[in-house]
Amino acid sequence: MSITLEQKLSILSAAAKYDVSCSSSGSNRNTPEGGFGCGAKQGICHSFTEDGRCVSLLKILLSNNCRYDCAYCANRRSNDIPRATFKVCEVVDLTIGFYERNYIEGLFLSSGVILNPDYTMEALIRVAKTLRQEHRFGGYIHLKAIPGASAELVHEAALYADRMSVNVELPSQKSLLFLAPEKNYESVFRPMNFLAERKTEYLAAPKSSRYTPRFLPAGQSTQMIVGATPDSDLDILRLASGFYRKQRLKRVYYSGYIPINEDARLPVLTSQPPLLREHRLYQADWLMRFYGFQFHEIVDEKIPNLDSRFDPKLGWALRHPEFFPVDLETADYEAILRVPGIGVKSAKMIVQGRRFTAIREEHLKKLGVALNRARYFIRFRGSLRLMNQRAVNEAVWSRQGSLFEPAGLLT
Amino acid sequence: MNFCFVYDGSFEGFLTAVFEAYRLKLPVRSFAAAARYSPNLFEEHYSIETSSEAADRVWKRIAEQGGEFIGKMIFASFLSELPDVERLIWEYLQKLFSEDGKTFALNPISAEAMPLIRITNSVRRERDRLHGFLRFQKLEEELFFAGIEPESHIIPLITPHFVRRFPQFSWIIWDINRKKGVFFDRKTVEEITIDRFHLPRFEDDFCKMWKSYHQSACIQERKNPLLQRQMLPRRYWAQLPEKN
Ligand code: SF4
Repeated sequence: MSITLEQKLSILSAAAKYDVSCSSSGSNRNTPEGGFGCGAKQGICHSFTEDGRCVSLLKILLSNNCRYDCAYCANRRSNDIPRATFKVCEVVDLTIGFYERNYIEGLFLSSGVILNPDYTMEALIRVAKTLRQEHRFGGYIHLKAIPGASAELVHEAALYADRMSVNVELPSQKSLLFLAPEKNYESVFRPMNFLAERKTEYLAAPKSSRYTPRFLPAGQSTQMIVGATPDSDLDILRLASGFYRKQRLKRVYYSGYIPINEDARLPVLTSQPPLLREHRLYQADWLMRFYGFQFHEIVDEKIPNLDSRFDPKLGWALRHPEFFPVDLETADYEAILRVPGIGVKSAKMIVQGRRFTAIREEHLKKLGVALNRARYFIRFRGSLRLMNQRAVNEAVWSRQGSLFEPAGLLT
Repeated sequence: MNFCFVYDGSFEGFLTAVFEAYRLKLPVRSFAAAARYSPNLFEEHYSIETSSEAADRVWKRIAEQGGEFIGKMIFASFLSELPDVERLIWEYLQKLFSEDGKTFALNPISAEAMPLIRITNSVRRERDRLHGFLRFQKLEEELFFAGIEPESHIIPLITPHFVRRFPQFSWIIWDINRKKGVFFDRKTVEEITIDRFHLPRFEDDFCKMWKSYHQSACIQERKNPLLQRQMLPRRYWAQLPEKN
């Protein structure tokens, strides 16, 4: 019995959806001469699914016919599920058909391990190469580097892709070996380091023409599953921080474990995905990337897990009363950025604007500062000096509402 | 007596009105696009004839005093078509054209700048959204059509993106409520205005597959319709095949 393209698409997109990355940012690839499609530096969201996640790329597996047996994965060998494999031309046609209608920014292609890692990597490359060379496609391509694939193939893939990712999957080598016996940290770090080094070399070389994009312009990302193993937030953030510094990753994604398989090594099927913990990790990640925080300022050996009650920025502020109040008239940008309730945009406006005008409450309101939180931590002309430990404690413990952020926001 | 300057609704027309306000030294209280203007007893209205020369001079002056950045802010906030936006821009421009206008332009938290920055940000957010939420239908080989219903007059801001991205076929982007659009013929962009426009709508195979893709990409365990509506506001749904 043959299976239709539509059926394949539904199997292989459902199989890919647990990879949370859907970002299309970081690449400014120009439209190829005689072709179509281009990058958009900020990334573009084309739709949102009912879970509120952005749809930016056509995110599919080339095949879910996987030889491996990772405990946490729906596609593992030991599961009895419908299997399918795309032909190269099918993926190419779908990508172009969707792209032309402006449904997507491009393609995110991953795959189960079909015969062996090299065979699988080659198939992914064929798709990307056909899009780039035959169709002169300039849209976004994110390819998964299959753990264990050879360096040459990983390198070739990076010539066509805007971004590549190798998923570290779990926050420690021990957890990975426990749940994914065919994988290990070596098979993750080798391609990651390799790509990071190549990218550094390419960046140093002169750019030849407007149509040759930089090597892997949108860099690398990775993902780890949160809540399937006993690893702490400290383990997770320490690892992530290393990825940002050493491998120069663009993004680390945290995926709250959703129980799909019955397995003694895993949380029971009825357990809830740890969405709040995942949310706090993203906030912490944000602090490391945009707010100048080090991971050990956010969690440490004494307090290895993020507080579920408030966001990590507020958590830091509450542990560091000596840092406050921050004087908005004189403090430097980095210090203003540490105030709960003040975000990157408003911090910049404050620093620029205070050269002309004394900062007052009405400015802060109009700049979008969450004054009900920020007020305990700042001083400005005409402000009440509310910042003392008692006021803060009161705000935190009795009038909790005002210090707590609306869901999903971090400033 | 207060004066309301009535112009043709175009940006050029508005800049001409600004030029005239300076030239005539009249106490201008408001500006209104002819299509949106209703006369009232307490002001006298004055019709402006658009002059690209006059508009050009004002535009150059904006660039001189504020640079490209300020010019873009004024254009974007103008496109919001908010009822009061001309007055806000007018108040901003008076400061910008004053003696210490160059210094004024650097201050993002002046009483005149803050509302315009806010409006500009929301217009740009809609531009960024439509870069993603606009949907083309393939009418025939190499001819595509997209209907949009934006809050602001967003077409001038999104067109460059689509010209860059889809230079290989012809397309039309049509603002359904404003009855204005652009036609791109692989070389140039032309404005079109047609009063009665027959809106095509049909589903091809890709459209069907996109709808089912959109369904299967959702993780049921994480369903959060509230978040979806926040990110993908209802007013865009009518033009999205995956929402119909
Ligand atoms: S390698 Fe592991 S995680 Fe990847 S598809 Fe196969 S079973 Fe799933």
